[in-house]
Amino acid sequence: MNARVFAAAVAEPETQGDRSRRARWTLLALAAGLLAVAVLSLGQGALPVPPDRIVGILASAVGLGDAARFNHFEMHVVLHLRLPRLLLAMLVGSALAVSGAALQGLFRNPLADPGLVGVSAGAALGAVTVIVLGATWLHGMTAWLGIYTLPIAAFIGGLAATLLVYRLAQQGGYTPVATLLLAGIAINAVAGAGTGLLTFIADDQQLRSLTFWTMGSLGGASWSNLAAAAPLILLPMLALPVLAMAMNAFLLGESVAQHLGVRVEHIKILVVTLTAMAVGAAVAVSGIIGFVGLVVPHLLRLWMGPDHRYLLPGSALLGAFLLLLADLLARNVVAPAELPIGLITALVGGPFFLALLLRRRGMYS
Amino acid sequence: MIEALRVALRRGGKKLLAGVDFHLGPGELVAVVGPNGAGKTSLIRILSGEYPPDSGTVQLDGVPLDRWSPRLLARRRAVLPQETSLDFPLSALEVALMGRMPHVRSSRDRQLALDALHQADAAHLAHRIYPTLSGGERQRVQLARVLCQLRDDSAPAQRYLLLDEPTAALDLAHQYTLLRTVRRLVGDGLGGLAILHDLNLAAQFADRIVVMAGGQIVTGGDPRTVLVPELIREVYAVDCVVTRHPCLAVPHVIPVPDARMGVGAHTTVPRTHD
Repeated sequence: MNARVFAAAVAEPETQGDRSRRARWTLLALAAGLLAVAVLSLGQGALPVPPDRIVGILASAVGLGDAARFNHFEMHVVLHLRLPRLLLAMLVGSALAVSGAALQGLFRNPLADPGLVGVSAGAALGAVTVIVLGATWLHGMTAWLGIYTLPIAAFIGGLAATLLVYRLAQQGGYTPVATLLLAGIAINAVAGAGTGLLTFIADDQQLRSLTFWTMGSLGGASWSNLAAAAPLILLPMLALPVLAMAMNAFLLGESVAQHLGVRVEHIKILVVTLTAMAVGAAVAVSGIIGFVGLVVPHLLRLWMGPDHRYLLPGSALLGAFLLLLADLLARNVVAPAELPIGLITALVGGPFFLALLLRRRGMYS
Repeated sequence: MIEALRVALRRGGKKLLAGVDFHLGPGELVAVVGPNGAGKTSLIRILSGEYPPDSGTVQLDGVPLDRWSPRLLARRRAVLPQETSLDFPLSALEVALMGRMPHVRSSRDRQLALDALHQADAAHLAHRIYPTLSGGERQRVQLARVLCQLRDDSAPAQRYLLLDEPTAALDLAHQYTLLRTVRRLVGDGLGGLAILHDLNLAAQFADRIVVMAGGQIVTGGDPRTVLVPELIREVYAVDCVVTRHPCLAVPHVIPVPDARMGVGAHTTVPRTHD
C-alpha cells in the first residue's frame, strides 16, 4: 500500500517545483509592473508628461541623448520633484513590506507588522525627539551626524521598540498572537505619549514639520532626504534575503532552527537590527505609513507560499509597487490638493487586517 | 558517542538536572522513561546542545558540544520535538526539505525528502499544507524532516537521533511503525534515544532503559533487569505486575488497581499476582 501511495505522491503535480517556478515568474511580473507604474507615476500630475518623453528625460539625465529636446520646466518637474518622490515611495514601500515579512518570520506570527507592534511608533518617537530637541539638547548629535541624524534617531527608537516587544511577547521561542498585539498596543501608547509630549513643547515651526508624522506622507521627498534614507534602507534590503534560509527554519520554532544548525541568537539580532534600520529610515522620511508590512507579505504567501527566498524579494517589489500606486492615488484623487498616503494605506489595510482577524478568530485561545 | 558527564542544569532557579551521567553510542536504542517533570526533555536539550549545561560537559566524539560548529553538529544529530507548530502554509514536503539545511545543497535533496516522507509513512501527505494536518500526521512529517537531516552519504560518520515522546500523538499502528523505522536505522548504526511513556513499548524496542526521576538518573540497563515492580512503585508510585510478554522475550508491565484508593473497585476480576 505504501509503495502505491508513494508512487501516487510522486506522480502528483510538484508543489515545491510549482511554487518556486511560480514565485520566479511572479518576481519577474512584479518587476515589470513596478517599472510600468513608475513611468506612469512620473508622467501623472498637474503637468502630464507622456511616457516616451519620460524615458527621454531620464536617458538625457544620465548622459544618453540630447537634453535640449525637452523644455526646462518639464525636466525640472520630472527630475527634481517627481523622481525623488517616486524613488522615496519605492524605497519606503519595500522597506516596510520586507520588514513586515521579516518580523512575521522572526515572531513566527503572520500578524506582525512594524506599525501594529510599535516599531514605527518607536521610530517616530526617535525622529520627533530629534526634530524638537535637535537644535537645543541634542545639538551635538545633530552637528555630528548631519543629514543622517533623523534616520539614525528613528532607527534607535525603532530598535528599542522592537527589542521591547520581543522581550515582552516572547515565551520560550514562541510568540502568542494576543501577547504580541498587546505588547504592540502598550508600546504604541507609550511612544505615542512621548511623541505627544514633544509635540506639546514644540514651537510653531517644529509643529509644521511634525504634522506629517501622524498620517504619513511622501510630500517631503527631496534628493537630500532620499540620500539620507537610501543607505539605511538598501543595506537591510540586500542583507535580509541572505538570511532567507535561516528565517525559513525559524518558522518551525527557535529550537528546531537551532537543531538544524542555525545560529539562532545571531540571526535574531541581525533581523531585529536590520528591520529597525529599514523601518527607522522609512519613518524618518515619510512618517508612519501603516499596514504595508502586513498586507504585502500576506498576499504573496497566499500566492507563492512562505519561502523567504522568494517572499523577501517579492515583498520588496510588491511593497514598492503598492506604495507607488497609493501615492498615485494620493496625488490625483483630490488634485490639486493631496491626501496623506498613510490615510490610503490605512483605508485599505484596516479592513484587510479585520478580515484576517475574523478568519483567524478562535485560533488564539 | 554522545556523552554527558556530571551534568547539572538550572533554569529560573529550578534544578532541572543534577549530576547526570549519560552516554549514547552508535547502534543502540535507549529509551528514557520517568514521571512528568523528571528531566527527560532537559536531558535531550543538553545532549542536543540546545541548552549548555551549568556544570559538567556534553561531548560528541570526545569534543565538547560548544566547540562544534552548529552546522556540522546538525549533520550528526537530529532532534524530533514533542510537537512542532507552524503558523505558515508550508507543505509537508517543504518541511521535510528543511532537513537538508545543514547540508550542501544538491539536486538530490528533493528525492531525499520524498524518500524520508516515504520512510515515515507520510509520502501521501507530501503536497498537503502542514498546518492543516492532524497531530499524528504532523509528527510523521517531522520524523521525515529529521530522517532527511541525518541522510549524508558523503561522510560515513556516526549519527544520532533524539526523539522526545515521538509516539505521543500517534495511533497504535503508527507508534509501532515509527519505532520499527527507528529500530531499523539503529540496526544500520544510528544511535537513538527516545523518551517514552509506555513502558511496554520501551521494553519491546529499546536495548537499554534509563529511568529518570527528580532531575537524576535512577537506574539504567537491560529492560529485563530495570522493569521490576519495586522500581516502578518507587518511581511512579504505582503498583504493578510484571509478566513476560506473551510473544516476545521482554517484560510486560501491567498496572494493578489500588484497592485502598477505591480505584477499580467495580471490577470483579480478583488480583491473581502479588
